[in-house]
Amino acid sequence: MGRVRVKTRAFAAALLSASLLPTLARAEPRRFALSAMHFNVQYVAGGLAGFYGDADPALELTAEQVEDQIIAESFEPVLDIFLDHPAWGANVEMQGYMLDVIAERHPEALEKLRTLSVSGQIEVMSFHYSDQLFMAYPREDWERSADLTRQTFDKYGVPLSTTVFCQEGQAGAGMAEAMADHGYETLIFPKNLFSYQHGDADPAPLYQLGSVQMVTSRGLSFDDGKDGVDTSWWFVDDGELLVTGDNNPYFPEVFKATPAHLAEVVASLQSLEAAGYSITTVAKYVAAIAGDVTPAEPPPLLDGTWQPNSTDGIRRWLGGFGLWWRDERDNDVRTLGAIAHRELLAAETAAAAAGLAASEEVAAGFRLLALAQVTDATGINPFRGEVEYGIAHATEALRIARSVIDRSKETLGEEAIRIDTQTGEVSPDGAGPEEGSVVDPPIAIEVTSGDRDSEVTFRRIAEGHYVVTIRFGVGDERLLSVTFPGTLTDLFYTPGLTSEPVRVPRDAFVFDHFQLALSDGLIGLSEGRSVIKDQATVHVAAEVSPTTGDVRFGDDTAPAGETATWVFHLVDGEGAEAAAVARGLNVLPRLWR
Amino acid sequence: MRRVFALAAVALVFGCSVDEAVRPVETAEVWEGTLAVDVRGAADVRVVSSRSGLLASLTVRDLDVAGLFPMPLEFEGEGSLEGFPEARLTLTTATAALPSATTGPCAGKPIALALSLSRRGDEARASGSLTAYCGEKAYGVPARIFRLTGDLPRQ
Repeated sequence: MGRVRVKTRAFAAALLSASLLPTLARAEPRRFALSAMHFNVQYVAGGLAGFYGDADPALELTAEQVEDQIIAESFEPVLDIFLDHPAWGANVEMQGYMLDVIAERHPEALEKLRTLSVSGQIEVMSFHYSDQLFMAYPREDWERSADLTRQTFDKYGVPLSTTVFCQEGQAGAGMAEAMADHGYETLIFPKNLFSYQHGDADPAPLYQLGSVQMVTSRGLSFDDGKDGVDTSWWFVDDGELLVTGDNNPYFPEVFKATPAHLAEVVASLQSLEAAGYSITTVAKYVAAIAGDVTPAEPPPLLDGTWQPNSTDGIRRWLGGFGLWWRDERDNDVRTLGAIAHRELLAAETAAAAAGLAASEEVAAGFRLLALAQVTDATGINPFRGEVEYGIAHATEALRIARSVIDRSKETLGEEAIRIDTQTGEVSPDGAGPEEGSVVDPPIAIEVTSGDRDSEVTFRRIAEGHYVVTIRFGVGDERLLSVTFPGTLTDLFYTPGLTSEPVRVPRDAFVFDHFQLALSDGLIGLSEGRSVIKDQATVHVAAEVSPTTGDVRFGDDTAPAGETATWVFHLVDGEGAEAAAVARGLNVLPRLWR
Repeated sequence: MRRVFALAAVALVFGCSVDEAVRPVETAEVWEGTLAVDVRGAADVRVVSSRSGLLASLTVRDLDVAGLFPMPLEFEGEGSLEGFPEARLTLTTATAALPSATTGPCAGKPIALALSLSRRGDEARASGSLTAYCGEKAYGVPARIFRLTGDLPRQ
């Protein structure tokens, strides 16, 4: 479930600030009213079957019916507002898949969207094909997703905005390079993710993040003595809520645009306009101030999501539980996504070695993987149907990948092969990976498992490289965790969408703890040691803190009555060795098939 | 497994030659159960895996498929049991073809059906999908993915 919650819309705050700012600011500041309307056609991924106590077809809409209602009741009415007010601009965000749905079943809405986006009145932001937890997976999965997104926008003649806002407000400093590589220019960094890390001070009107620019979604009043800028974010939230009175698609009977709500939005924007605000797009705002404002250097920014206080950061999607906790199984869902990532890369590599034409199959598999990685399969409050949506798409991606590998083996005339997705080498090998020998634990780890038995084994597979296997027996306890001892050194991890680990000063932040997704599984424990989660077995968030170097991995959603096995790699060295292991394990793996 | 033993017993009763009697009997593994389909529907599933291949049989019922195919659906497909030892995961796969549909999203086209069921270790729980593709290829953009979950214990 995306969110069943009542929110105080940013709208009211924007109007309040609009009423106050003229008295606070210097004379004649330039005023901009900005927005990020985040639409998500996978708001109820897979539809509402099973959400209600009774199978009432009026309530338990199919996936297609939910998608259609989102577009008809919440998306198209917003477009109509802007068609009726051509002087106003705004930013809407959607996954690439939503554009496919609009084009397939809502041609009038597509025409309106095309009109508004071609003119530049509306920026259509899209950074991923599915509303996926891309920060938790290797960049390659996002690359395929981003390419498919651009193809989709090109196919339907809708200009893809160069501004970026993401599902669940996922953001991090590592996005800069990936954005630049794909033609994106400006990142909207969620204000709460920023303040969770650095407090509530006014942000700069513009930041330079690597080779791209960044704004935060916090309103500000800036005056350097020469130039005054006031910005007010009138809406940064789920777009579905804007004209439906904060009702969401889980409740189809009330999830409807009403004339009163539409009039309320129009009146609010007219008030902002009367207060001197230009209701405009982020791209136009950046263009307007770029010549007058020197972009600031942002402080260190860790990967996260937009409401870290209420979701404990990204942990809500990687081990945390929500309202329907009974049906959650975060680790199952997220590890399946990682396994499918590996298998699809292996399929592509094996097919290339065998000279097999399988690009369509592999592309179809990656499309399914993007859908499988949807955030709502593990958070904020996923119900059973959404959990199973993630699993179903992942297993079908796996089937396609394995079919390609099996045919590649037949073509190569081999029974067993080793596939190295990093080098592209495919060779006969029935031996399998090095298992190593059991050794005494080089460190003491702390495992909690309630009424379940747990067994920890350390194997050394190379000098300074250990495999840690934790087996949890059957029990009722849902909360499993392991803590690795560390020291208070810099944070050492690989930011999402990047390929090299960085060191970040641990004391550069104001939070008391932080949850990291670890897209390659790597996190430092000390200057000379790192731990890497094998994402095929464990893919939950890593908790770090400014007051201890220990790193904790916890899953609060382990299914009762089922066993679990988690595997970590412990690597000694200054970091390069661990980065290579992480890459070879989770990013560009070697597989024996 | 029970079926194999029964066949062997019948062969002995009817007086096979010594060679035939000692010929290794191919062992087969059988999993059987009822899985939920898209939470509300159901599928009776039987999977038989042996050295000669895998046969999956499903009867899907109690589900609105919007005319995609006639209900109840009888699916019988050949496939394989795929191992992912590094993940303690097995995947049961099977595919089958349905004749051209007369209604629904695949009207005028055959339907390719694909079964993919994952299982961790020796758990009874299986979860995955039955995916319908319009056309003959079991890949592309699915017409529909049906979610399957439940216990499919080894018999």
